[in-house]
Amino acid sequence: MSWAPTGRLLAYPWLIAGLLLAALAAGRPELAAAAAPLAAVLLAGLLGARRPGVPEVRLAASESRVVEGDRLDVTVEVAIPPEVESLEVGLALPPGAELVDADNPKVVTRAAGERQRLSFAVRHRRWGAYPLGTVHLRAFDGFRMRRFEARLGSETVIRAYPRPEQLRTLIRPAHTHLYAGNRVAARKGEGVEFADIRPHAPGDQLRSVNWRASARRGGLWVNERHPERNVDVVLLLDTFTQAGPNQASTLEQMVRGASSLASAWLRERDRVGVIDFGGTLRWLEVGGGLRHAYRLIDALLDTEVVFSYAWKGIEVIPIRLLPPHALIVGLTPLLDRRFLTALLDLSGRGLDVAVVELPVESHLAAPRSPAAALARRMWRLERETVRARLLEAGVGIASWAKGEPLEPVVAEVEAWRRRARLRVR
Amino acid sequence: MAPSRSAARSLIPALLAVALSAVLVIAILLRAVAVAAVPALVDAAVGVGVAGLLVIAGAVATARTAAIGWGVALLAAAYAACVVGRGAPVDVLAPLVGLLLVLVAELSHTACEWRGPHATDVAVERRRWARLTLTAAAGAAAGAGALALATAVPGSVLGLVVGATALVGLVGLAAWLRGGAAGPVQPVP
Repeated sequence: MSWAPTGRLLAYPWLIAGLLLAALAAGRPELAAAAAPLAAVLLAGLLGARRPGVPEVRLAASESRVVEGDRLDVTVEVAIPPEVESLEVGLALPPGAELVDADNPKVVTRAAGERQRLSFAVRHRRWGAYPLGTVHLRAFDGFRMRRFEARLGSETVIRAYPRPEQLRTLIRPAHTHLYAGNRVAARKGEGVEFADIRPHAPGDQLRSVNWRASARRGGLWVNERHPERNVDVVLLLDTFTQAGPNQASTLEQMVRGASSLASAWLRERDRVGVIDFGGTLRWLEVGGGLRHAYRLIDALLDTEVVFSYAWKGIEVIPIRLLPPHALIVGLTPLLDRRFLTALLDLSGRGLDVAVVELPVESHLAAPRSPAAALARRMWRLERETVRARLLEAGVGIASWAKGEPLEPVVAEVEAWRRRARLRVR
Repeated sequence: MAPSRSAARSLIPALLAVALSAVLVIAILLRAVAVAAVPALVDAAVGVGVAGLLVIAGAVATARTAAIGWGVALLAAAYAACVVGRGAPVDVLAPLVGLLLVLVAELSHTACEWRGPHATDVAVERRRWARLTLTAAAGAAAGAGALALATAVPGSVLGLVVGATALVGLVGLAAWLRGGAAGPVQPVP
């Protein structure tokens, strides 16, 4: 352990030297005698303790994945070196993590055992990947003349997931996939939901005969049903730019929303993929199941805005990332024209697109002059135009204000899409 | 980080330190006034002593450990001025003054530490204080012995040489400790 003198060790030699100097200068032995107790303590402190070695420390967490705001127990197991009587053990946490109801640092003594285990309750305020923390060890010699310190880190990373919002409504895709799922498909086939009746054909099962209809119409009529299928959903995240401070930015809100939507769709046995479309292109192909859910949220935690001047269109997105008949849900603050163009291009190519807009006005300061107020009005009008263009292109869009639940936003998009489908029919 | 000791508990050593400083200043005043050979020095001693008392009180009130050394130094300077101002009679209570200086310094440091993010075990602290008091008392006893010897054999060259050597050694030690041999002080987590 490294050592440093305490205030005592720095002050005592000067005090004693001053008294000795005064004694020698004035020829008064009393002053040297007054320095004797100080000298005795200094000598005992200097000669009394050996420098301890670095203690063996094990740092572990009860979970490697938590939901933001949930409690996590971090255990520090420490072997106390024989040179010290007691050891202060402190846990330094990364920004965003905090201790819950715990003394920090804590003290362990050799009298209670050579190897001891301490527990710290930790909470992560916000989603993200956090290092577990650093253990700070501090000990003093018997006279507190010297302080011994060591810092030991851990490579363990704790992943704090965004707390998912409760979503009972989800955007209903225009097309279903071939795999079995929880969604009633538009086409007819084997399933539970009644669709229609038709005349019996060779090969139809006897149990599908609708006896009431057959009795009324004469001849055999059979029931047709809608099969239950799943859907493919691709979350397209606008990582060109963000608005607001890091802890409360549109990016933060975007990840939170994407995580909630992905969790809800995956619960419904749908397949979900994610594309970070910004300065750099990152993706995770569509997939389903618990393992994919973890992979997807881990990928979302690494989402970041990478600034770039380069013009990017949807041609940079590998084609396999956009499966046929997939629903594409864009999450965007509508600040970058490249993302808007990409959405319109996707819609123009016949893909089913919906957008959750992350409003940025709450991040802006109030205009201070008439000119600024006019500029703000024009900016608002421009955004209205962008929304109108998207709606005109058949892209449902709803605005998700910060702090509001996501459910009504999803319901609004779904309602617009339903109305649009009826109009088309 | 939350301090492991309440601010109320740190009041005990703080008040004790201030009280002992006050006792020291009053003792200096009483002893100097009784036999004053150089009245100006006695006045200076009292003034410096009061200044030391105020510095100690300020240090423990604001938890500034760096000021404790200055406070104790002022108290020691006050005592030195008192001794010189008293004139001829040898002050046999000098080792006791040294003991008081140690206690004032340690109590002040303890008060500051308990206000900060330090965690200490009560049993360990008790043992430390026992060890410290015994060592300081042993030092005071040795000082009393040396004082008696110096009184019996006045003007000893050996005492002068030992004193000068110790002085040089102490200044060297202090310079070494200040000079970075100890390394930077790590911030508290």
